[in-house]
Amino acid sequence: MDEEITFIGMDSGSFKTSVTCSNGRREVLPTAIGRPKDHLAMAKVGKDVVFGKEIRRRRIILEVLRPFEHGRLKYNNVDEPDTGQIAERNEAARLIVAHAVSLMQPAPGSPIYGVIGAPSRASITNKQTIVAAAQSAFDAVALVPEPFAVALSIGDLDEALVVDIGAGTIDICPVFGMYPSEDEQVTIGVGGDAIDQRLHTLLEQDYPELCLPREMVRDIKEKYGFVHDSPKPVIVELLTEDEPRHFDLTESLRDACSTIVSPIVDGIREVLRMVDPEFRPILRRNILLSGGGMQLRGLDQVLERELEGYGGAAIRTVSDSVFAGADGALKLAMAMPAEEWDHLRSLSDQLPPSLKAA
Amino acid sequence: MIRWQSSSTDPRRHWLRRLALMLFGCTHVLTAGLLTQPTTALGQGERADAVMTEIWMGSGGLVLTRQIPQERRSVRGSDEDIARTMVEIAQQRYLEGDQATAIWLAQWARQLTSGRIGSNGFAGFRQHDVDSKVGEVSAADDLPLNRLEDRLVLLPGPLEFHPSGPPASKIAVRPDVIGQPTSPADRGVPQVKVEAALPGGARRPDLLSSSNSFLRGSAPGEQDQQHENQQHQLDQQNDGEFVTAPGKRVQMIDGIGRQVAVVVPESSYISLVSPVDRQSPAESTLEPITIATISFASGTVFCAVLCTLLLLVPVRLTIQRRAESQLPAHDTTLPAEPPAKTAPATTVTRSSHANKPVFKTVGEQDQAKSVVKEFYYHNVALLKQLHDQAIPSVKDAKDNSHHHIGATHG
Repeated sequence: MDEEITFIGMDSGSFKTSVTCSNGRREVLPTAIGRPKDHLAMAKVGKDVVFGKEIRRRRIILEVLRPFEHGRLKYNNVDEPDTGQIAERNEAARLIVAHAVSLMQPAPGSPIYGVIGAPSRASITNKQTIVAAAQSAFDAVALVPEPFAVALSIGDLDEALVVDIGAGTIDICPVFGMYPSEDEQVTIGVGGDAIDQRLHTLLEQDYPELCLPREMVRDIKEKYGFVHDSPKPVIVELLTEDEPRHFDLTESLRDACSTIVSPIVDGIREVLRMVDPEFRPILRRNILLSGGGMQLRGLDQVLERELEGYGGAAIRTVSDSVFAGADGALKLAMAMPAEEWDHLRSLSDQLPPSLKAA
Repeated sequence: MIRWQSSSTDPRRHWLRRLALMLFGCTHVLTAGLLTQPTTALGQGERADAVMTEIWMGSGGLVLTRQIPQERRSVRGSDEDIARTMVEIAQQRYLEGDQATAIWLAQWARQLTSGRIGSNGFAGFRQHDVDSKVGEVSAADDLPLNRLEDRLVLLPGPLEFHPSGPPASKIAVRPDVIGQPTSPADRGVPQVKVEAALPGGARRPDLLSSSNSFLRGSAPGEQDQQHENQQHQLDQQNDGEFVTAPGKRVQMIDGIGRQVAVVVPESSYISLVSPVDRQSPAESTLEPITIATISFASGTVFCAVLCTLLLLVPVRLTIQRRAESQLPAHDTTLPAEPPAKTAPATTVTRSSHANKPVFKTVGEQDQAKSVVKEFYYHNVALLKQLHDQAIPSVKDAKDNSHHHIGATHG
């Protein structure tokens, strides 16, 4: 009997995880888990772990944990106060991956083969963490650089420079029609989370009467964020202790959002320096922005302007910033022959159980 | 924020795009058909560049057209019916002040009926009827040759007159201006008639075999002898050209319907070119329709290609980028949460996976093969590296565990 196989492509970002499946399903969910704060909350929620949009709705009674926040585990080795928190993050990552796979409703009993996006310059420890998180959900798993998965999804494999702007990291990868080596890629340890943090700090300084939670700050950034010379001021109505008031957030937003411009320009220049000089102009003329950060208004124009001094650039954005990485990963998963997947599966089975608790 | 979602994986957008293409195609075809209608309705023989009334004769009768579509009028029937209609139109045109058209029509009517007067006893429409109705405007102008040349040069083109040099001294009669043979059998017959040379309008079968003749040769007074000379000269046809003798006086109708007289110089001769070698009636009739059809067909193809390109080429990326950058910051909204797709009943099996290529084009597949292979090798190396890293730690853990157990026991 012909065996059914389920292929899954996953882009487990620092803020959102998007997942697509060979059976046609696809989902996006926050890369976070929520645990009830006490027994009363547990009774209200009805479960010990909460996923998806419910986290935002019930965040008052939940302890929310984003395991990959600020690029933790995947790239940045942030010092944790104790190892217990690291284990907790690893477990949260495992739960999120398992939940995302379950949303795809794979056929019972069928092998599940998955490709997961990883930061371009993730260390072996970071990769071990990702593999460990996926071990229980997949029969075999493979990792692909996130920007390369984006290039695969849009079929642009010839002379392109992909800049994937995530919440935790910004990955820059030159694509020449072949699988990229790690040495020629760059990962920058800042992203959307850094913007949120900066904006939160600025708003606290400028408007002490405001007491905005991080979620609202992120909403403001996603709704009004820009980096170019805005023709009109950004006036937002926010609630103070007494009454709703209008606040001019133009400069704060521009300041916070512009924090990623300079690192991106430096990263692009660094990648171009590693490329054969003959191909540098070709790459500069085909720079592709992806990831949630590309939605900042005017980012492409500002980057083009900043790169004018280095020979100029032509920058495009992908049409689907949410699923581009996952689609590319799925494409790669389905392109790999079943025999090779079987071999990867046998290698995965040989990994010691201790890896799953890494 | 206005965001385009991926359309390549969204079947609803795919079908909407197809539907839009089909609707546009249907609309364009209908529009093209409506636009073509007036052009094809111009009728047989009417040309877009016509500057005068044109008369085409086919086997089914005569179609009279004007360059202004509102004045187009078709007549079908016997020569007598047509001639009567033409005289009526001529009279009307004359009363309206359009003398040129009136003369033109009257001449045609006369030529149509002159051969039959006296032969079939046609009553009610005789030669003098035509003459009396068009009145004095139909009288021929006797013009000196030097003035005639100037005048002919200024005419819109039906006549070409070159007075000097035997080969060049020709009056070429353009077939798109003069009448066409009434039947295919007449196409080889010269479009010449020396009407005035025939006393009493008697028909000379050898010369008047064509009822839609254009040129009338000679003038009253020269009569039979002259006609015989003309016949002799006209019989000297060479490749469709008919030559009249030098010194003869020839009357003809110019491009705007006026009668003019030409005295063939002694040192030259005038030849009339048969339309048979220029253009067939079928071609003339079909030409406007063909031009219109080709124009609109090419227009349709061009529009279809253009629309397909506009819809399929991902210019939306640029449009999206430019549109967003022009939006004021506070006018935008949060990006919409991509809706979860409802799952189609798609399953991938081991055999279907092997047979179905993921990358669509051959170039992509070739390129992807090496990429996938390299991807595979990278991940094999990664798993082996992870395995090698984990083994010592497991060993250490076992050793530590053993030592711990031992220590406890100790």
